[in-house]
Amino acid sequence: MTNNQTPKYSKARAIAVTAVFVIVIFGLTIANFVITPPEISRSERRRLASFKTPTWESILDASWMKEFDEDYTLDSFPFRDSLRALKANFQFNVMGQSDNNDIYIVNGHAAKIERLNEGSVEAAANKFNKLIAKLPDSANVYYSIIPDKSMYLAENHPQIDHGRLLEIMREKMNDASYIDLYSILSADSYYTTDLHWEQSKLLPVAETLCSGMGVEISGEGYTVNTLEPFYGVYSGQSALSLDADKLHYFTGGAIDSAVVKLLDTNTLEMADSSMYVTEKFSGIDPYDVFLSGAQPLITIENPNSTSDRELIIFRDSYSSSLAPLLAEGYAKITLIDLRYLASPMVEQLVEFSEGCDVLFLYGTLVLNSSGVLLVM
Amino acid sequence: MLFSSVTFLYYFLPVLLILYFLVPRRFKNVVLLVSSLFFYAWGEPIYLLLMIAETAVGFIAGLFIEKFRGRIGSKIAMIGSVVVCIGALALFKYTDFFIGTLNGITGLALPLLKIALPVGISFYTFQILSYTIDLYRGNAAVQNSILDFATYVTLFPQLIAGPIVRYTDVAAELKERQITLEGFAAGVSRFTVGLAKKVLLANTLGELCSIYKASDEKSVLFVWIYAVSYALHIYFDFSGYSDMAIGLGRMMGFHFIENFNYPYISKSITEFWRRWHISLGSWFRDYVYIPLGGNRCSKLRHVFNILVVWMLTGFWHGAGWNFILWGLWFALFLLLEKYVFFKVWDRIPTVFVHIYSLVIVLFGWVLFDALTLGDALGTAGAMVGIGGLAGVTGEALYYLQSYALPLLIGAVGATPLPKKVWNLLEEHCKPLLTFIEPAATAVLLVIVTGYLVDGSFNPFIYFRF
Repeated sequence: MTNNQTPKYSKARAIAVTAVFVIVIFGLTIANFVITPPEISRSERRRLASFKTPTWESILDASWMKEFDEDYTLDSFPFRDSLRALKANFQFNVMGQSDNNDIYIVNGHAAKIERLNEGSVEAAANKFNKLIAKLPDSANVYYSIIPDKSMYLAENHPQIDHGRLLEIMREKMNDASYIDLYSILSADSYYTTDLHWEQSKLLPVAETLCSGMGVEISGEGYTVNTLEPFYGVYSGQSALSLDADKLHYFTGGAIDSAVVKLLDTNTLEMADSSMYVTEKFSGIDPYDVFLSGAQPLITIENPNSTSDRELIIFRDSYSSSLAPLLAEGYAKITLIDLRYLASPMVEQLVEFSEGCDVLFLYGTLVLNSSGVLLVM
Repeated sequence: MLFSSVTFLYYFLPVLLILYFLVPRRFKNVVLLVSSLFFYAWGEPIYLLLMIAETAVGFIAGLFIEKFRGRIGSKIAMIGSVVVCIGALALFKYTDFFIGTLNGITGLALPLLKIALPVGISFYTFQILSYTIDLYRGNAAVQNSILDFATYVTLFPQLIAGPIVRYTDVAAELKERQITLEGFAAGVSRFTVGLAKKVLLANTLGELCSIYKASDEKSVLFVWIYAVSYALHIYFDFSGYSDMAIGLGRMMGFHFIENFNYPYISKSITEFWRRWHISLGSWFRDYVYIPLGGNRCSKLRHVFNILVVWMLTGFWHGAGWNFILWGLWFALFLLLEKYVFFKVWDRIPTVFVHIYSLVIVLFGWVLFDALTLGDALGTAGAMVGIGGLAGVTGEALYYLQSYALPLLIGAVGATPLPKKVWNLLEEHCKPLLTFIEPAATAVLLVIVTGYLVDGSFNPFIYFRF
């Protein structure tokens, strides 16, 4: 049976179909060669693949072609963001699918589908216990978990089994006291386009944590500042045109007088910095405004503190916006990000004073992929 | 290289079309041959040599078959081509299967060779053999031009995943083919439809299958969603590829055979296999089943013939016991239909024979997609409620809702209904199609490009075979 059932085309129709094909295929091909692709995708917050010169070896084992097909041609394609947006809108609005790249929208909030990885949560708890075992006996150890925003948004969407996650942590973290944040957070505590929580909504969180560790803070005397528009990480991942958030940050009180230092990874010395680096608002991740974004080690000293209490937080990015609000209650806060600072270095660089408070404060997303925590 | 890739659509295809339509007629096969070799080498640079070697064997065997026609030398040349081509297929595709089976039976621990499977070897091997066997039988004329023969074997549209185009089907067009504007436009439309089937439907439903496999919340409902999704996924994946191959061929003046004819509307397994992968089914019929005696023999011999053909059909799809059992699964129902069911078939309401056919095919796909026999039995058991899975979970309901429309579009698209609607438009609103068809072509091409740019790597399932 041969394919002889081709429609009887009128000349006009054949010309129109051919012309459209030529315009789309050759038009985009020419644009592909003419338009210089950007080095960075701001919407996806990543460096785009660049053209690699092939070698005989990479051609013979086909690795160059594979990279060309799967990375370079996709990343360098013209009108990339518009085409991704077209796909996302088609998937949501025409195909009627509930998520795109696992991102879904509920009540204007974008959230991501995640499933519980029990092994990862257990491994995280084991890593924390390893660190706790090396702390001074007099240290007061706490842990708290920041639920992913999907906890408050997912209607029928698959999500992390938070009950089971808490159960695992409670079973494993016998030498630390749990401070609950689930009950004081809500969907409104988070940005609509980002996974993080909003600093301007975190005073109850700061009070709960401090109260749980026996410290009082007033949370008063702050002024709210605003940077906008803030397009969070889910905005780019979903490829949808979501309404922008505003990035609010507090100034005043202990925040203004605090002395902030970051670890210089070249010299291993602490270098001066500040609570907020507003220049970073125009960078790849505007959330980096808070404590300069991803940093292995930060200290915040409060010269006006009425006590000499110290707090050490093993943390992820959520603490960047929270820590300024805790400064009022402590003479010194040390923030350690185990994703960027391996545990042997922690022992070298951080001094755990007698009677210090130690808080393990992690979002469920990091607990769910705890391989990133560099605990040896 | 995948048809559904930016590399193919926006690098390879434009360059090929420019060259193909610029060069004089006598050089068109040169352009096709060179571009086909480049197309193959893009994914399999080393195995290009294997394909060239097998092409040379087929060509030289053809010359000897003709030269010694009527003498034993002709038969030796034909058998030689079969031995070399099937030998290469066995070596590159089945060696580890045989070693693993031998190890399993004897308790030996012979090391596996772990030879990478040359893409498309099952397809081009069968195409070469169709030439040498047909030539030996006197059903084809000898090809004296190595250029034309190599163009036939390596022709990139159907090189990797069919349809298995027989030499006799395209022999005339290798020499002389008509390239018309109407033919090009028809090819464009067919190619675009195939591309959309692959990218918008097959890949989407493939995602759903992957989600099911990764899920910790499996349920009976979810297993059925998976089975239906996989059935539609493999249909749109493979028939989409065939559409693209046929469309590309048409753009360049070739008429390839149809490979699918709405298999899921079949009223029996016998009918299903007349509608699914038609070029493979007819190849096995003409080159294995009929030479074995077909059905013009004793019942026992016929049963044997059916079992051999379907075991080989399964084995052609992959070097694993699940593929062999998949073939035999269909053989069982083909025999039942031939010798048992036929007595009552006409009295059964049509809806039930449709359901019967679909259910047998669905269980077949579960076996086909399983990594091990144990997995296949587990999934098949779960479909009938064995295994203690919950009936329904929230996750299953979520994905049923999220993929309801793609599943529905897939289910309707697997029937002749869209074609009938289109034919009605052709009959009654022909002038309107002058606008609708180009507009639909443009929209589909742009949306597909959006999916490709945002997506991940999704090779065709039949690349594995």
